[in-house]
Amino acid sequence: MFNIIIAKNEHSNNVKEKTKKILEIFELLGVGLVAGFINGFFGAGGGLLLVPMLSFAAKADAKKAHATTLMCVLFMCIASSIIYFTKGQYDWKLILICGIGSVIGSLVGTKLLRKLKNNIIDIIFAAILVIAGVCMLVF
Amino acid sequence: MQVMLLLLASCFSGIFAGMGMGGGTFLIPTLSLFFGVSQIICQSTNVFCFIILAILCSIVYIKNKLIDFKALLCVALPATVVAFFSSFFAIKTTSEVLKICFACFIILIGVFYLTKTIVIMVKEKKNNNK
Repeated sequence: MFNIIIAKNEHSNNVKEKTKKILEIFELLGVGLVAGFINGFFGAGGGLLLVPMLSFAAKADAKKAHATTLMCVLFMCIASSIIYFTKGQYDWKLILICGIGSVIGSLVGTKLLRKLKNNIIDIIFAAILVIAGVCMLVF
Repeated sequence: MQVMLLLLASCFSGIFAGMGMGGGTFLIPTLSLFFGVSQIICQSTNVFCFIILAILCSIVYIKNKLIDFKALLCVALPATVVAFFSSFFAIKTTSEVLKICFACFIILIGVFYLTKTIVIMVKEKKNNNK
């Protein structure tokens, strides 16, 4: 009798775990759909959504969430770039200049991250976004 | 002169990207507001720049085993397909409409980040007081 109860409990635990795993996969698929639409339509922003979403859905730690997000956005950007390239919507000169600037900046940013990352910088970044958004609407 | 300013602007966006804050959301409005670049070219520039940057970073992340491949597969697969079609949709949309949508999007993200950071700061202050 006791063995039957234990076996039943084990079985229900297994079912619960399997359901949890399936739900996790569906959550990740949903996250991918949303981030894909945002990144494809706006050409940016997928990463900003993916990092917190991945931390929540995949229970990934901050470093893993950032690294995995970067690779996800890379694939999205490759897909978008095919469209931009085939439709002739690009400016190589601008890409070259901004590409060089971005690489230099990101190297500085990675080093600054260790020294400066705190809530004040997050607030400054968020304020810049709001101000830039309002300016884009007005001008 | 303009080249130097562009380098400076992209450098700033790179700094934000390097700090994990999303460089594109900084680069696109900068190009649009200060250099008069059309919204769709701003977006394509950001996408191409990101590819260069992400390939370099990905090599380091793979070497350091920081990629969650299961999550990557589940997220990247639908995301890539949807991104392909939504980029096509973006190209069909006028630059003006795209600009307005993008502006609303970054305002929302900004407000979200502001709220989130303020909540964290309040919690930290409460914990410190205890």
